[in-house]
Amino acid sequence: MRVLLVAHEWEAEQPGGAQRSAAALAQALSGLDGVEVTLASAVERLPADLPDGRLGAAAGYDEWLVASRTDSAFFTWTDPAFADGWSRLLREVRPDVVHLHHYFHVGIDLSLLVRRHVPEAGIVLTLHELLAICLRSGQMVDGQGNLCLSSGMRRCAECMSWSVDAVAARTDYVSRGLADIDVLVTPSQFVRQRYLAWSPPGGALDVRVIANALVFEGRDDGRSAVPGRGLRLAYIGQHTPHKGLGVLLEAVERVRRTTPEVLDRLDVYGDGSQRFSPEFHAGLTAALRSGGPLVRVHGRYTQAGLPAILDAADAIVVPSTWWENSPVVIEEALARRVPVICSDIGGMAEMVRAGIDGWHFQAGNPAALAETIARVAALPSRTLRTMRRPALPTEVARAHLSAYEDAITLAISPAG
Amino acid sequence: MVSRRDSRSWVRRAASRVRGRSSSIRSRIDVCWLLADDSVCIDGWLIEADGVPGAVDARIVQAGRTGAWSPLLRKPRPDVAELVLRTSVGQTAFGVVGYVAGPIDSTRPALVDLRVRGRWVRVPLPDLRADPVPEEAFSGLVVDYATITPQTLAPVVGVARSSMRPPDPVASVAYRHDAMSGRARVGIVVPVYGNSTYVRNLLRALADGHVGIEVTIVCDDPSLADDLVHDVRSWNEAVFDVPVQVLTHDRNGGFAAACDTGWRAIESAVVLLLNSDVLLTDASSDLHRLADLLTGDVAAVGPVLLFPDGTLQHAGMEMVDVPDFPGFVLPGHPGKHGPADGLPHEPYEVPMLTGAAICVRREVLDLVGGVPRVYGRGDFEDVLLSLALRERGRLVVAPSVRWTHMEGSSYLRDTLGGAAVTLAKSVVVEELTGGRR
Repeated sequence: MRVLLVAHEWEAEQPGGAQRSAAALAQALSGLDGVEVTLASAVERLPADLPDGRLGAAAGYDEWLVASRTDSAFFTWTDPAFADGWSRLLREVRPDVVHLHHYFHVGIDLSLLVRRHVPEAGIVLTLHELLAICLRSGQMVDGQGNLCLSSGMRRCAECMSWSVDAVAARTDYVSRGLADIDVLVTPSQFVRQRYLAWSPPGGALDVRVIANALVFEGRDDGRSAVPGRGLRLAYIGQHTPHKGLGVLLEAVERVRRTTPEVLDRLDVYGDGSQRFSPEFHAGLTAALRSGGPLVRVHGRYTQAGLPAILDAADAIVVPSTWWENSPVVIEEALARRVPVICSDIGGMAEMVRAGIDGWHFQAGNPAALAETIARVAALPSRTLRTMRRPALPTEVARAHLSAYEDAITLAISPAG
Repeated sequence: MVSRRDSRSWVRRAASRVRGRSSSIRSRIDVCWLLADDSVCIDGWLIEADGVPGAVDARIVQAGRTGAWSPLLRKPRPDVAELVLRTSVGQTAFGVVGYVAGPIDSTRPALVDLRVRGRWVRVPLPDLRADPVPEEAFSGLVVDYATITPQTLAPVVGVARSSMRPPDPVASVAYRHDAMSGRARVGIVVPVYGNSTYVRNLLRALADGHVGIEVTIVCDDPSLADDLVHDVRSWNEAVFDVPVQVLTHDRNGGFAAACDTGWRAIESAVVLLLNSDVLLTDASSDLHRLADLLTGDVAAVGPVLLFPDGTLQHAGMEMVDVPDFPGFVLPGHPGKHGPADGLPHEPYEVPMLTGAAICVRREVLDLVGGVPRVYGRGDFEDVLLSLALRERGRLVVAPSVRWTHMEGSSYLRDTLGGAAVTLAKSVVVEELTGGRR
C-alpha cells in the first residue's frame, strides 16, 4: 500500500504536535511490511536548493515539501497556483491512500485534487483541532476567554463580529471539504464529540478515535523522587495565549509566597510568545523573569533531549485554558512514567485520568493549581503506578492501516 | 395570510442595515420618494427614530456631488450621487439613504427638501453630511405617522411605471471552461450583481459532482466583472474543474435581462434560475431531483429555501394583503421564519415560486418569452414569471430539496431597498396582472 502522509507544517521549520505525530506515524508505518510511505509537508515556499521539493529518504521514507498556504477561515489556498504543487505530487506518488494531518495550510480543497488525479485513493484526515467549528483559532474560546461547548450561526457571528450569512457560507464551504473525506480520525473522544455535535448541513460526520503516533523512548521502571525536596515541575510546549503558561507562573508565585517548601523548581521549555501581541509577549516575558530562581527558562528544546528533560521532572504541567485535543507532550510524559498535572477540561482531562495518570485543577485558576501543586508535593509517593502506557507505534500504525483500508473501500464505492 | 412579522421583516432588515451606519437610528422605515427637477432617484428610504411618531418625506431638488461612494457598488462611481443624511433633534434621529442616478450637475451642491409634518426644509446635502441640521429647523414639530396608500404614492408609481426598465445590455463570453457544452441536462443560470462572494460556494458544491449539470454566470455589474471573471477562471481551472461559463453585460440590465441572457445562451432542457447567494446542499442529486419533477403538466419546480439558522424562508409564494400597508398587495411566504419540519413530504402545488431558485422547463421559458422585464431590480419579476408559467402548467415545491438562501445578499437589496419604491412597484404589478393572485 502506498501511503501519502501530509503535514501542515515542516517539523524541521516549525515544530508542533501535529507535525511530530505525522512524522512519527510515517516512521511507524514504514516499518510495516508492504507499506510504502511518503511524507509531504506544507511550507510557505520551497527552499531555493529544492526546486522540486523532494527531500530524499534519509528518514527511511520519502520526504517532500510542497508550497502551500491557506487563509485561516475557509482554509482555501491563498493562491490557486498552490494546487499545481499538490497535483504534481499526487501524479508522482500515485498513492493508494492520502492521509492529511490538518486542513490549515494543506488546503480544504485538496480532496478535490485527490479525486481528480488518483480517483481510487482513499482519503483520511486527522482532526488535530477544532478549526472547522470555531473561527477563533479553532479553540472554542470566545473573545472574553470563556469556553464554548457548541457553535451556532448566530452565536459564532456575534463572537467574531461577522454576519450570519458569512458564517453560513464559511460553514458550507468547510463542511463540504470534510464531507469529501472517507475516514475522519482524531486522537480524543472529546474532539470527536465536538465534531459530531457540530453536524454541519449535509449530514453528520463519522469520526473515529485513533491515538497519535508516538515514536519515543519510553521507560519501564518506576521513578524515585528525592526525599525531602520540593516538586520538580516542567512546562514543555509553545508559549501561546491559551497554553496557560501565565496561569502556571501565577500559581508558582502563590506557592513561593505561601508554601515555598513544596516546590523545588519549574523548568520552562519552548518559546513562541513573540508571535503574538506585544502585550502578551511582554507580560509573559516579565512573568518568567519575576519567577526568580524557582523558574528556570530554557527556551527551545530538541526531541532528542526530551527524555532527559522528562526524567528530571517529578511531574509536567499542562495548564491550557482551551480544550486541547491530545497534547503529544502528555503521551511523551506518560511514556517516561512522569505524571501530569493538567487543566480539568477537554482532551487533557480525557488523556490524564485524575488520580490515575496525574492530577487535575480547575482550568484557568492559579489558586487551584497552587493548591494542587501543594497536594501532590504532600503525597507519600510521586509515582503513580496506575499510569497508562501510550499505545505502541506499531499498534497505532495498524489502527491507521485499518482506517486506510476502509477509506480505500469507500473511495472505490462511495455509496458504501 | 402572511404574518405581520413577515410583512415587516424587510423593513426591519433595512433599518438594521442603516443602523450600522448611524447608531442613533433605531427602528422604523417609512416612506420616501425622491424626485428632482433634473434627476430621478431610483431608490431610497427615510428613517426615523423610535418614540417620535411622524412621517418624513424627502426629495432631491438638485443632485450634485458626483463621484460619490455607491452603497450598491461599494466604490465611487461618477454617475452616482449618494445621499446619506443623519441628524438628531433631541431624542429624534433620522436619516435618508439613497442614491441618484441620471443627469447630475457636478457644479452645484446637492439640495434636499425634507418634509416633516407638512413643513418643508431645504438643506444642502454637504452641510447635512458634515453637521447636524440646526435643531431649530425642527423645533415644535410634532410628527405623526402618515398612512401610505397607493394614492399618496402616486408620484413614485409614476416613476416605477415609466422609467424602471433599463436599456438592453450587450452580453459577451468572458470565460468558458473546456467541458462547457451548453447542452447539459440542467443549466444553472446565475445572475450576479453587486456581490459575487458566494459564487465560489456554488462552484465548490458542484465540484463534488456535476454530471449533466453546467453553470452560466451572468455578470450584470460591470464594476465586478474583471474580478469575477479572474476568480472564476483561476479557481475553476486549478481546483474546481466545473463546466462553467461567465458572460458579462456591458451595463446593468437588471435581473430579468441577466436571467434571459443566461438561459438563451444555453440549450439545456432544464434551466435553474439561481441567485448567487443560495447555498446548495447535495448539489448534483438535488438538481436532478428537481429536473425529474418537470414532467407532465409541471411547468416549474422550486426547492425549499431556509435561512442560515434553519428556519423556513420559502416553500411557495402567494400574493397577500399587507396589514401594515392597506391597499397594497405584496408577495408573502407562508410560514416564513417558522420551523421547516412541518412541510408535506411529497411535492405540492403552490401559486407562485420565488425567483431566488426556480427550475423551469426550457420549452416553457421559450413559450412565455423568458423572465418579464419590468424593473431594473429583482422585485416582483418572480410574481410575473410565476403568473406566466401558470398559464403553461403547475408550479410545484420539492420539499426534499432544501437549500440555504442568504436573502438579499446577492444584490444588497437592503442597502438600497426603498419601501416606497417597492410599494410603488407592487401597484404597477397589480395593474399588470389585473389583480390575479
